[in-house]
Amino acid sequence: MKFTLKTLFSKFVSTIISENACQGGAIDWCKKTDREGLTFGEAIEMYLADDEAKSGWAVWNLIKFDSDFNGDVKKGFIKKIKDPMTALQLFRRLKHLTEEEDNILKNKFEGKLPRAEKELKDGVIRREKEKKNVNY
Amino acid sequence: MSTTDKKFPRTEADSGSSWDAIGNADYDDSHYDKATDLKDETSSFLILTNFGFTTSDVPVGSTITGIEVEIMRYVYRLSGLATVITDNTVQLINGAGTPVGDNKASGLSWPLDFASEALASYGDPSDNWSASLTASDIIDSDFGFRLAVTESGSKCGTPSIEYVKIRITYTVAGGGSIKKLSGVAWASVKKVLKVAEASLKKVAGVVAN
Repeated sequence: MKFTLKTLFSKFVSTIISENACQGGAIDWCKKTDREGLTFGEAIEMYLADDEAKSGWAVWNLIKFDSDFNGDVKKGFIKKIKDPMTALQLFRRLKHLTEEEDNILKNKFEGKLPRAEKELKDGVIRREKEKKNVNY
Repeated sequence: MSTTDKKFPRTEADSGSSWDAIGNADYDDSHYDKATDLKDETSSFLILTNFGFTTSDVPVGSTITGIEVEIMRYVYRLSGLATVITDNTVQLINGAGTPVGDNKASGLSWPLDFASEALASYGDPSDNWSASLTASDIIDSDFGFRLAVTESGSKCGTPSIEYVKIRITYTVAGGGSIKKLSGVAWASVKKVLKVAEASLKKVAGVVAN
């Protein structure tokens, strides 16, 4: 795992700058928040408590760093996701979710999106996690 | 069971500020409602109402058995950007202007680029969306539906809607009962005829003797 709650936040900020995160959005928030010695865990707590901070950054982080976040970091960002369809799309697209993380996301959409849930169940939409790796 | 024509909305509104072009989903004419450059966010609601149903379309007292919504749409994007736009909310609005019933949002991505523009359908003639709508709701100018979309591909995409149509399926009040009554009445008539036939045969026998 590249990033844990104890990772220095500044290391993560450098990474997202190199990954072309939104100037004026995520990067501004990160620069405003960062201070010497701030850990990733502390920054995530501040992000969760900041109602002005958009949940789209959590989506971007989760998709971009799916396999680079450890479970605690992933769960921290998942907490920011309130919208059922966004939770379903993450459930569909993230390849490296544990069963516990699967269930956290499922709880955010189950019973709220009857059509999309049926599409998942019937295989009309498929989870990246369940697609088999094919070697050519 | 009866079905109305498919009708277009006559009133369009944005619950927030995402939809920077509205008023174009009212006809199949290559003009589009658009929410320009969504990225990692959910749009505000596009609210489409006033579909122009009247009591001639849905008589007062009818039971609403099905509602079908069709949306012709695609995603405009800069060449090659892997934007991912999906429904977020597809929900009916009753005659009081209140969102009601199931959220029929699909988890499928919207088609990318104009060449792939396609029709999405929601509901069927036997699906009432658990919305408990009445004929009075349907003919109210506030009846309609609302739509929001989500971009989750971290790339700018512009959801574009050419038109929306709604069709209603209903049963006329008392229609079902009349059919049953006719069946009962027909059985009674047949019974009476049988008795009359038997009586006539009896009379005919007496006269012959």
